[in-house]
Formats: sequence, structure tokens, C-alpha cells
Amino acid sequence: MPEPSSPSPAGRDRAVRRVRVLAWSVAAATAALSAGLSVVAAHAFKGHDGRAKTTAPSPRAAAPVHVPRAQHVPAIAGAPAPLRPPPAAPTAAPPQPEPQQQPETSGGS
Amino acid sequence: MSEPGTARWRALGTSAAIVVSDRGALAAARAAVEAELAAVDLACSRFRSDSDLSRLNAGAGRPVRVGALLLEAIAVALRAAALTDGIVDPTIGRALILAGYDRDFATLAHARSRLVATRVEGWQTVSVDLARSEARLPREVRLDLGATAKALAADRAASAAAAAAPGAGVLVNLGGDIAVAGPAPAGGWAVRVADDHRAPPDAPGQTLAISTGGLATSSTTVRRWGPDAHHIIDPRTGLPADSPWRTVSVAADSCVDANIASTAAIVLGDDAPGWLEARDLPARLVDHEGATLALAEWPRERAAA
Repeated sequence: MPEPSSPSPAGRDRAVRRVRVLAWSVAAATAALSAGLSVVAAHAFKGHDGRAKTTAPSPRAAAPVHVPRAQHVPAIAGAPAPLRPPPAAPTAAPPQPEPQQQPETSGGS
Repeated sequence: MSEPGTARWRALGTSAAIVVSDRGALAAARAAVEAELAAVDLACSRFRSDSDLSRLNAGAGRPVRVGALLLEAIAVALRAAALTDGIVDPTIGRALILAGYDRDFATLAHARSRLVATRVEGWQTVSVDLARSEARLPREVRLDLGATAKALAADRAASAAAAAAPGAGVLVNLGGDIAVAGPAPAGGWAVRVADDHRAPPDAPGQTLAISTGGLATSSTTVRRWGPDAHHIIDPRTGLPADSPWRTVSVAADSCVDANIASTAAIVLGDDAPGWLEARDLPARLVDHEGATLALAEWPRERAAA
């Protein structure tokens, strides 16, 4: 039985080059197809034109708030200042309070 | 004689009001109050992801650099805890979340079927470095400054409004936490105490007059989201306080001191009258049947006609 003839070195090189070109072509086609599908998907619904900006305000976009300085930071260590009663105790409201100021209500919140 | 002026709006998840003895100073005073409240909200809100407090609570055990206002609020909360032997403790944040108060109250739609208790780690676990403007919490600790930050905001806002309206007297009311500054009108500022700061004028309560300091009311009748679920946590149990008092009002040298005492009184329960009297704090306690108890120099109520 005759031995199968082995390909020549030049023939092997040509075959390898053809496989390499084919692999690059498939990769490039896949990338192009993905990009194309992405564009189609992005334009599939109204409002997605690729240029629209979100209208929802970013939390960081709020007007800057001026933070007043701390007025009095109580001591962290040591004995804290005790609770103090008011300099003038509350008094019973007059029978007919001044009509100009309706009472403010202090209640649970 | 100048006429008073009043403005009302929403802030810090509750109602805000300023009363000025001279209507002409109202705009400047209100602007000062609004600036204070915006700053306190940005520093101390548990419900804003961009607040200093939220960053600190997310610190996972690491030191977090925070602003001066949050440092002041933490210091005030730690003083409250020290003065009450931990009865008013800022490390109840996780207990509040487990009890169901895990978002802004306005969006808290329904109650949990069962309350879940958790250990409150305690205020001594909070580290503050004033020189480095840093605070650090253990990984499992969440701060809630609700008991004192609103009262601090009222004190700060009243002080700022008085500075913005020289010569005028001001009263600031933040959801029932009241602070006054500047000269009071003749006869004092009229204030009504009730279970709910939104109560109509004919609801059960008492009208009195204050001329200095602050007045605060704590109540288990509001900010509820279930039969046993309310916002005043007893750090000893990790659960909403089971108190014989439904509402406690206290007058003090500042709104912060008044709020510390009124919150502590709810949690202390039967021990509250003795605790308040030992500190000579004028107070009014209301039990679940509506019976009232006036302490120290709190004005006695007139008998109903």
C-alpha cells in the first residue's frame, strides 16, 4: 500500500496563512455585527437618539448649602454640663392671650 | 408698637415655623432659619445618602472625616447619653431600622407584623476626634440623632434668626421643638402643649407662656407605624419604649436640654417624675388615660369648667 504523500513546507505555510486570515475575518465581522446591533438597539425606542441628556437632577447638582459654623461643641470627655432649667419658668397663659400671636404648638412629631 | 409676623413651611421631615415680634424682620429671620435647617439636614439626616451622617454610618469601622456641624450634633448626642446614663442613646440606629423605621417617615407605608429587638451597642462605642474632624463607629453601629438633632437645629436657628433680626424677638418651632431668642413680647410667647404638634387648637392640651430657653414635647402617640411600634427606643431592650406616659413636655434653658429630658422621661417611665424633679425641670406628663402631672414650676392647669 502506498504511503500518503506529506505536504510540502510551502504548502503548509500557505494553509496556515489562510487559516489566520480566516480567523481575523471572523473576529472583525463579529465586532462589526455587535456594533451594528448596539446602534440598532439604542435607536429602537423613541427618546434614545444617542444625544439626549437625562433631565433628572443629580443629587450633587443641588444648590450649594452654606454650612454655618458650629456654635458650641460640648466637651466629649469629662463631666458634661448638667441639664439646666429655664432662667424664667413657664407661666400660665393669660385668660385672653394677645390676639396678634396664635399659640405655637409643642407636641410629638 | 410693631406687629408680629409668622412664616411656616416644611423642613427636616416635619413642620417649621418662625414667629418674629417685628413683622419687618421676618424675611431676614426666615432666611437665617432656612440656612440653618438646610445645613443640619445635610449634616445629620439618616435618610439622605449624601449626608455626613450617612457617610459615617457607612464607615464600616473606619474613621470618617465629617463636618463641624455633625461633630457638634454628635457631641450633643453623647452629652445626652452621658446625662441620662444611656437612656437617650444615639446608637439606637440599628434598633430603629429593625423596628421598621428604615426610611423617611412620610414614606413608611405599612407596619411590620413583629418587632425585632437588637442589642444597642451603647454610646461609649462612638469615637470622636475633634482635632482631626473625624468620627468612628464600630462596624455594626448606626447612629440616629433624631432625639437631639432637631432640638439642636431649633436652638441654632433661633440664635441665627435673632442675629439676623437685631432687636426683634424670635420663636422657632420645628415639629414641636421650640426655642426662643431675643426679647420676648410682653407676657411671653404663647405656646400650647399637646400630644401632637399638628393638633387643632381645641385638642386636649394646655396653653402657657415662655420667655426664654426652649420647650420640647416627646410623645408615643405620633410617628407610629404599628400597634407597638413608635420612634422612641428604649436602649435597654432595643424596642420601642413601653411607658406609662404617652406625652411629656419639658421646659429648659435650651431646646436641646428640654428634648433630652422629655425623651428620657418617656423611657424612664415610672422613674421619670423623680428624675425630673431632681433636676428642677418644669415638666408636664400625660398618662394613657389623659391624666396630667405637673412638676417643678410648670404652671398648674385650671380645672375644667
